[in-house]
Amino acid sequence: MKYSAQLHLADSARFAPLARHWSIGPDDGLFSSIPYLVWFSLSRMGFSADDYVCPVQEVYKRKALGDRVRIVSKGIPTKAPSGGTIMIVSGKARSEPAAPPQALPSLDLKWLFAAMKSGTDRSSSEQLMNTIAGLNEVLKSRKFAELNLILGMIHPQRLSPELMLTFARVTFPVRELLPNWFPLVRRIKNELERRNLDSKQLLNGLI
Amino acid sequence: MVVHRSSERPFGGVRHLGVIVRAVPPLDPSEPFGLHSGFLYRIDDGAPRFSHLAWHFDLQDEPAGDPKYLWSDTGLDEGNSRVVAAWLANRGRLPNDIPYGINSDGACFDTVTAQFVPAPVGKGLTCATYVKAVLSHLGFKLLAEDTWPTDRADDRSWQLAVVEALRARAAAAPHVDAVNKDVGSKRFRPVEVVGAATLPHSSWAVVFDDAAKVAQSIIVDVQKARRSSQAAAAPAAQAVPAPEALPLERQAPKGDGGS
Repeated sequence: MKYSAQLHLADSARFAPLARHWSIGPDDGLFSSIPYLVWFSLSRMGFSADDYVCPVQEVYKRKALGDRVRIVSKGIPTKAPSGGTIMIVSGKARSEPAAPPQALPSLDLKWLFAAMKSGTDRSSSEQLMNTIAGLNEVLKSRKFAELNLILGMIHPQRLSPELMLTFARVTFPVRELLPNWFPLVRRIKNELERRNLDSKQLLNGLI
Repeated sequence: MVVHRSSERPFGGVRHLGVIVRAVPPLDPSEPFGLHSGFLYRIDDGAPRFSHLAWHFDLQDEPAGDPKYLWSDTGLDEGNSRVVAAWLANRGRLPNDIPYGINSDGACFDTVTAQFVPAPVGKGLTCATYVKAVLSHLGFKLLAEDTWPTDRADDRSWQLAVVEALRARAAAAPHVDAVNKDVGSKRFRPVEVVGAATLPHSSWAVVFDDAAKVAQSIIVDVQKARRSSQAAAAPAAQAVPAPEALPLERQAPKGDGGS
């Protein structure tokens, strides 16, 4: 089960930067999965990956709309300040089960944050190289389920065209292992066309 | 003119991704010269670099400097060129693990690590199929491979020369023996791969006839560059017939070179 979610900012000012950067909201596909929302939030606040497990389990127990779920206490008792809460503002069941919540914490996704924050203007080649290196690390660890979820969370609307192409092309060799690869390419195609770019040329060989 | 000397167009003028080609001593002594190919790339305002498979387990990623290389931008758009260039820059940091082989079946970059797959014994890449393999890995189909001929006699003689060169340079015996069994396989010549890569992306996958046409123009460019450099290096060389003086069929370099 996956849910759209929204950070409830009242409990901790430390969440505010997240909201500014990613405008998290119920229609935001970037954080369409609760486990990732929580994990991203925790990691941005400086908590370690181990802090992640209990909060996510807690979230899954409290999945009703309007619920506020604390993500402190069990998992992160030693890392004050108090963290905060998340509030589930909408929920929609999906056919496939969510990935095991313990899957992502071992991955360093700084490169993904950086990519998502880079904006729609021209990306630097250093940005592209960091993204390629990050993708290669995930690939090297053969965490295809996690990579698939990452692809599912990518919003082409927030990326430069060359970063869109980077995500699609670097993962092209394993596309058959990533159910979210083709939908991502379709989203990229739509976004390129929305920007009046030649999607057929840019995606040559991919579709 | 398809490819340019760096004295005419400095390597730093590359629009992110280019291809390079140069004349080299031929593997097959019956040929006037061989050809070696690879990539030219540049990361933002950084210095341009070459990425090329020089020989058996000898992938080079080095500053672009050798003026014997001629180059051209590829036909890719800017966005895709930058992605390939960034990928090459990352690849340059990975192990130098690519064997040389005349049949690349089953030999390519690992789908997930970008490292070279431990290929079946005897399989590997040439300098030309390295270019093709990189592009293929990232979803570009450069060549319409099924249109390539399989019966060129001079390809066979070059492949035999590769086997001998591997043997002479102490490649592992099982690898050499396996390469020998691939003699007669389809060959993608450096000049054809480079030529195809210079064509507009919209015309990829390039069929053999189109690649052969642009390849012939590149051969002329290489011959001119050779004549020019020979004249500059040794005025006495004026006594040596210029390559263009030879019949065209004889001029055409047929080898991947001694790289």
